[in-house]
Amino acid sequence: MALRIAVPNYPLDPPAAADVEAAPSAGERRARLESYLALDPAFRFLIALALVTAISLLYLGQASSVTELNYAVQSQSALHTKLIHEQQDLQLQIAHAQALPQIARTAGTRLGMVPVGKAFRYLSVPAEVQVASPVDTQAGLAAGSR
Amino acid sequence: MPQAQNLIRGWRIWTVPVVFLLGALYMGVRLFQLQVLDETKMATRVVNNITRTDQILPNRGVIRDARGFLLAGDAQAADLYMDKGQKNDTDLHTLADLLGPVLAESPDDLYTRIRGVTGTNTLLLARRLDSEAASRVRQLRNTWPVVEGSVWLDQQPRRDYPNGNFAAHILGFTDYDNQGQYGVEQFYDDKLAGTPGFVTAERDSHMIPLPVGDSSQKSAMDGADLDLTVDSAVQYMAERELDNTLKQTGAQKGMILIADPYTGAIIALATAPRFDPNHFTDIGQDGWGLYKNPAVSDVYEPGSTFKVLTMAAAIDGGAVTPDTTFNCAGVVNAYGTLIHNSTQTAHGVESMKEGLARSCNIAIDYAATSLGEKKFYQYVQAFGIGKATGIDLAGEGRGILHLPGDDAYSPINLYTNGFGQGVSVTPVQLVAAISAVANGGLLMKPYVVSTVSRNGQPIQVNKPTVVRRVISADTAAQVRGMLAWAVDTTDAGKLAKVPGYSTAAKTGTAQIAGANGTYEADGLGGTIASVVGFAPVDHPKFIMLVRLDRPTSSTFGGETASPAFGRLAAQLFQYWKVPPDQPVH
Repeated sequence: MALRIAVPNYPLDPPAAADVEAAPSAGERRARLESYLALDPAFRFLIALALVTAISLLYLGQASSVTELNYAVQSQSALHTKLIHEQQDLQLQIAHAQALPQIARTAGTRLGMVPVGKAFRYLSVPAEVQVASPVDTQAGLAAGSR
Repeated sequence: MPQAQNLIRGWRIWTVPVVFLLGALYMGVRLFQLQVLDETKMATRVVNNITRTDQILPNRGVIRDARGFLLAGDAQAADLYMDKGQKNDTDLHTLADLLGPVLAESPDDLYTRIRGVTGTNTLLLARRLDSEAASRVRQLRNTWPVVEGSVWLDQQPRRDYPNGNFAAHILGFTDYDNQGQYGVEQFYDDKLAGTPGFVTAERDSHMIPLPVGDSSQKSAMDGADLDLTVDSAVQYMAERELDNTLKQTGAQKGMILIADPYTGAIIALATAPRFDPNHFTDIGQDGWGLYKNPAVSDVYEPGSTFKVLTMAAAIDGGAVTPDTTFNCAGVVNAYGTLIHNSTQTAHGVESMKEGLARSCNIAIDYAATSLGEKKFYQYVQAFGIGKATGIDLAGEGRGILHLPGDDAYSPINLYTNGFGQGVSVTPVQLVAAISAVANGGLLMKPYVVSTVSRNGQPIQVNKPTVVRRVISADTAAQVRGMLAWAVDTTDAGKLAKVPGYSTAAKTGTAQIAGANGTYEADGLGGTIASVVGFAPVDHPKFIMLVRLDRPTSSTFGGETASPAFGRLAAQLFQYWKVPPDQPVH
């Protein structure tokens, strides 16, 4: 007769097949997962509402941002056009000021200038001046201007 | 009775829901019709209501001279409109009093004008108000409710020519529809105008395109800019000289054309009278004819200036040389018609050089007949006579040249055409032809625009174009020598001479063709006096034609046009710093 030592809760003999609890199948496990996610319908509605609201707010924000940018672009475009027109006006003002008939009028009326006409005579230029190089002439002018 | 009351109550109870039901049914049907059956039509109507297409006007290109000075550009302006509907007489008086000073019009005249418009309540009060006047109108709109409620401005570009009537016939003008008329404005209108764009979009109440709506857009392409070959300084000198010459000679009108004989580039074209393109409707008694560019549209008989071409042809054709002599009897019999010298004098034995210097008709006829009819007209055509030069200015004529075989041709034409009668040219034709003598024998195509550019990038560059070689370089040199000798030895020529500079020139005094193929009397005020020449002779810096119509101080080109040529040439030599090629005495 062999010695037997009793160990609490330790089945000395393999349990009977009927006593063994069967492992849950994949389908059962899925069913249990759904039970975890099962929410109250009101709560579901609130979550859906929150999602729709968030998406709507996001869309509204984007749309308003696009609109704002569009107005900014329109405004900049108008400013661009205005500046081009101003540039054209300024160029024309310069052209009016540079117009030769205008300059001639100003010279005559405001500055009292008169055409040279025939009131000039040729001067004899000494030979040494005639052969002076442009560089020398420029230097002379520069010196004189000091 | 209670039964009857129940019946009434029951009827009332049922009536209300039935009425509501019918109403709801009607609305349902109507909604179905509008939103389902008529969906496309309704949607289209909505889109049409909020969708608008605006045209984007391009900026018209500017015109600059050869030195980059602006000659034409766009300024901002506005058309002023008024709605006089539902305005009483007091309102109209008030409007006339307020707007009259802005429009430079007396209030009474403006009131009469407003009242005079019938058939419409909307009237255009003023076109192209400048920015200052438009600003005053805006101030009035902000201050006076009656103005705000009936007057509005429509922004429009206005072409501005800062120099007024300066170079008017080269530039032309743009009309109220912003279309180029005459000059380069018309010739290059397709390039200057640009291409309009558009914006089609759904818009808000301020007509600003909605960002999320359907839209399509095409940007406007601005017009190209023109750079002319014209030098403003030379143009100014030429106009000043022409205006003074007209006063001195009593000529009705005139023109001075200056070109580069080597390239055909037009450097200046002064005309008188001329118009102000800023106020192109103010043409007074001159009428629409004032717009015509006399340099390209007016044909006239060139008279003795044409002798240069005849002599060049005869020398190049081997018929004569400058030293060929003949006996001038003062008259020649051409198929029964006697042709005289203008002075009715016989020069005796003279060379071709002397004949050209004396402007002897008989010498020229000798040269032309020696060359022969066939060759003469071949040369004349080769010089470009009778055909448009192709210059880039609107309205160019081609002159009148009758060739052998034409119905209007007579064998006498060889004699008369030789000295510039019976043949008509445009000034630019004559200058192009004589440029061939000046430049060594090449006929160049004249042009006034050097570059067409957009955003600073050239899109068309007009380069000097050789049409053909007309005469040899040797012939050209011989004719240049003959013309220079004529200037140095004749009184008329000396007036065109500038001390220190060799000058080649030929004067002309042409009768004016009248009605029925006859000529007007060639007394004072009955001729076209002209001179065409170039200087310095060996390497000309310019070629110049001075033409005066109906001078009254003298009939002759040598006494009226030559002095102007000389004075202007002197200024050009100074301006271009051309060194003298002859000793100054």
